[in-house]
Formats: sequence, structure tokens, C-alpha cells
Amino acid sequence: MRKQRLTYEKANTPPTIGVRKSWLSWNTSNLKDEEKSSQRAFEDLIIRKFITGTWVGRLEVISEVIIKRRYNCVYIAFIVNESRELLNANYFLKGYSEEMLSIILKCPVKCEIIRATNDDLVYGII
Amino acid sequence: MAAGAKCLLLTRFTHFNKNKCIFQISRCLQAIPTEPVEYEPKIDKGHYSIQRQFELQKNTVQYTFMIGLSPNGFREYDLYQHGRRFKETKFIFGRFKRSKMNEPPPAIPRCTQMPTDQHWPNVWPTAKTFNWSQVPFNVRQGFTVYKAVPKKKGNLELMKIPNFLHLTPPHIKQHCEALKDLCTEWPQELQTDEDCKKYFPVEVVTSDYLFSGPSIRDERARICTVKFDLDDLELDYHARDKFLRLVGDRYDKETNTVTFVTDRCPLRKQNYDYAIYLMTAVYFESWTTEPWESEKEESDWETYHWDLSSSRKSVVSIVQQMKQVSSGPEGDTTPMEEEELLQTPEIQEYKRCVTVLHNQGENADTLTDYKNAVLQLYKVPTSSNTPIVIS
Repeated sequence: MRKQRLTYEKANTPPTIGVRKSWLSWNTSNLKDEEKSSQRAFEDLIIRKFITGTWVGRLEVISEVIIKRRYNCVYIAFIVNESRELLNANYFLKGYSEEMLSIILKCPVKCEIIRATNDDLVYGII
Repeated sequence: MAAGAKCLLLTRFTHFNKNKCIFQISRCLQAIPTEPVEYEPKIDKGHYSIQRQFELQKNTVQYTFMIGLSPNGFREYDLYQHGRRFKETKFIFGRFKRSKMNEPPPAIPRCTQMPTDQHWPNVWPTAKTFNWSQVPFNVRQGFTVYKAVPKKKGNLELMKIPNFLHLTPPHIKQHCEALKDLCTEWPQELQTDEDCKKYFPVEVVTSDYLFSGPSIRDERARICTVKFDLDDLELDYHARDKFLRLVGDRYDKETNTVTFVTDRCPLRKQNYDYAIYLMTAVYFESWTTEPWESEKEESDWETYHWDLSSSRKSVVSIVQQMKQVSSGPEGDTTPMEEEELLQTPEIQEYKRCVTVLHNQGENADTLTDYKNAVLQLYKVPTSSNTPIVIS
């Protein structure tokens, strides 16, 4: 009775980070002798809550949220359920998320939205 | 119902404005024109609509393309066929309602329509996350557990890692072309490292810290390091000795350089100024001779001077006594004779060996030389035994 569909992220447990899968947050604060890693982690928490709470319904976030920091910008990448007819809502939510998060984080925020279906993300069924 | 009723799967808008509209039928089961066709739209209830007849093999199907510009500028389109709506989307009370009978066709990914001779920097101009629909080659990433190889579409691992699709050779070529105008020629006078060292004797090292965060401040950027060669300063024997005593550990004997590292001020400019001030102050201080410097004793000597040492007095007195014993009690030495004594090869050799022994330290060679010099000086027959250094 295999019912639970797993994504690659869920199929690989946290001990396999750095072996089979890589990190969800990329920033220089996590490197050795660098500061403010706790601040970055707290901001990542806010970003993830915001994104998963904003992109709901037909435009649901169907993957984990990847947060990359380059220079003073925050790049947020995630996969959104593919729905062709909701382009306007897609554009609105993208601009809304970028604007609100850049006000909260006080730095430029870019959303890089990849579109796919739930079936594309299925890695295994248990 | 025409045979080609569901043939028309997708229309692509290659160009659109209020006056002109170009369609390209991109996928169809039957042969219909795929070239872009220009239409003259006519205004109907605030929407621009176009009618176009496609003649298929057996039946004639009429499609109506409804094109509209919504007040917020977004593009909307609907397809009609025989007066029946092919697709219907309405925005009512904040909820999207859609007729499930006519599911919209899936989007065709852009990567399948890319020409092979396209200019890649136009597709991927800057660093961005991997997008499966924009990369025209197959790529996979992931560990196989459930006998499923993670494919390109919707692969989160490919999105996580930094890619170099924005740094291909055409990109680099374009970057270099753009940067060429900003470059200047290398000065003709600075051909070798010696030239650089000659014209720029002082080396200043500072570090800029670039990290991902909203702030550009980093307190480590304040540290300033100033290096220079000791030979570039004009120093006599006393000044050089005093300079080395003043700088202490900052002098590297192997490379003959002095290094000042300043980090006590909050700003880099202040630290640089302080390092230059230190350099200047130490230089001029080393040239001044204080009255108490004449009180320097033998234990304060930086190197051993045999002519000023007690070793010279004792050697001279011993050699004179040896001469008195050999010549008789009435012989009395004069300063002239002392100077002559010092010029004898035995005493010169003894002087050299004692100086080397003090300056270089005790080892097998210096001790052997010292032993031979003493034996020669006191006219003792030399033996073949060499001293053994017990460490």
C-alpha cells in the first residue's frame, strides 16, 4: 500500500545534507569566522513563513524555499504549481512578495519562480 | 463537429499591440499555416477581436481569437470555436472559476523552441537560479534510491547549486569587450619586480570584506599593514642599531623588512596615518643620540667588539708577561709595542675567533677555531683531538 509521495528533499534525511543534497540557505554568514549567522537564520525563517503563506491555493508552493544571498540581495527560488490561466495573479504575487520582503529585510529581494507540477517533483512513493 | 476541433492546442503571440496582432500556430495535429500572420483587429465592446478561418483537409473550422487589454495592462485572450468558448476563466469575488471540461493545454517549454545558433548571453545574461524551461539540454542531478533518476524538470537540487550558465565563453568575451574601454596600459617604467620595488618602496596592505548581507561594514577592514625594506632608509651604524631595538619583533631578519600592523583606530584611514606616523617617528628617533646612550655596557652590545672588550686587555697582558718571562724583567711595554702586538697574526686570529664565537654562538666549527687560536697564541703544541660538543 504505497500512498505517500516523496519529493527528493523529503526522501533524503538531514544527515545526507552535503552528501546527497545541498543546503537550502546559501550565504557567507555560515562560513568560518563570519558573523551574524543567527540573524541570517532568523531572516530565513521569516522569508519561508512569508512565502509559504503568500503562495497558496492554485499557485501553491510545492517545494522547499531556497534562499540565496548574493552581495546585498536576497534571491528566493521556489517551485510553484503550474497553472497557465493565473498569470496575472502570478505576476502580482511575485511583485508583492518582493516588495514586502524588501521592506521587511531592508535589502533588495528577488523571487525566482520556477513552474512545475506536483508529478514532476515525485521522487519515490512509500 | 469538425475533425480538427481539438487540433488547435496553442497559439503564440509573437507581436501584439493595439493596432497589429501577429499569431503563430505552434502546435496542431493537422496542417494549418504556421507562419506568423498579420491581422487587423476590430474593436468590439472594448476588446480587440480577430476572426480567422482555417481550411483543414475535410472540414472548415472557424476560430475566433478574442484579444483584450485589461485596464491594468495585462494581456488576456480567449479562443472561440463555432461560437462556443474553448476556454473560460472568470474572476468572481476573489475566486477563480474555471470550466473543467476544457482543460487548457500545457505550456510548451521555451527550451524546445530555441534555435541551435542562438546567442546564449541573451538567454542567460546574469547569474540566476537554474530554470528547467530555459536550458536547452538534458541535465540530471540527484542520488538514486527509488530507481528514479531526478530529471531536469522540477529538480530542486539543480536550483540550489550555483550554476555557471552566466559565465560561458561568449559571456566572458562580451565582458572583456565592455571592460576594454576602462583599462589603461601598464606603465613602461615598471617592467620587473625590482622596478616596482624601486619606485614604490612602501607596501600598504588592506583588506576589503565582501559578504552577503545588507550591511557593507566589517570591522576587520580597518586593519592596515605597512611594509618597507630596511635598506631603503638612510641609517648609519648607530641609527640602524637603535631602529632595530625600537621596532623589535616588527623586523624580519630573513627578508630584511619592517612591518607595522595598526588596528587601534576605528577607521582604515586613521590606521594608515598612524602607521606612517610610526615609521617617521621611529626613523627620526633612531638618529638622535641620548646622553645615557654612552653608558652602554658590554652586556648591552648588539654585537661583540673585541677591541673594546676585556678580552683584549687580558690577552695583551698575558702576551706581554710571556715576552717578559722570555726576555727578562727589565723589559717594559709601551703603547707602540701594544699596537704592534695586536698586529701579530696570532692575536688577529684570536680576535677573529672570539668575535665569531660570541656573534654566531657555540658550535663545533667555532669552538675548534677558538681552540686552535688559543693554542697558537700560547705556543702550545697542537693535538689532533677535536673538542666534543655535548648538547
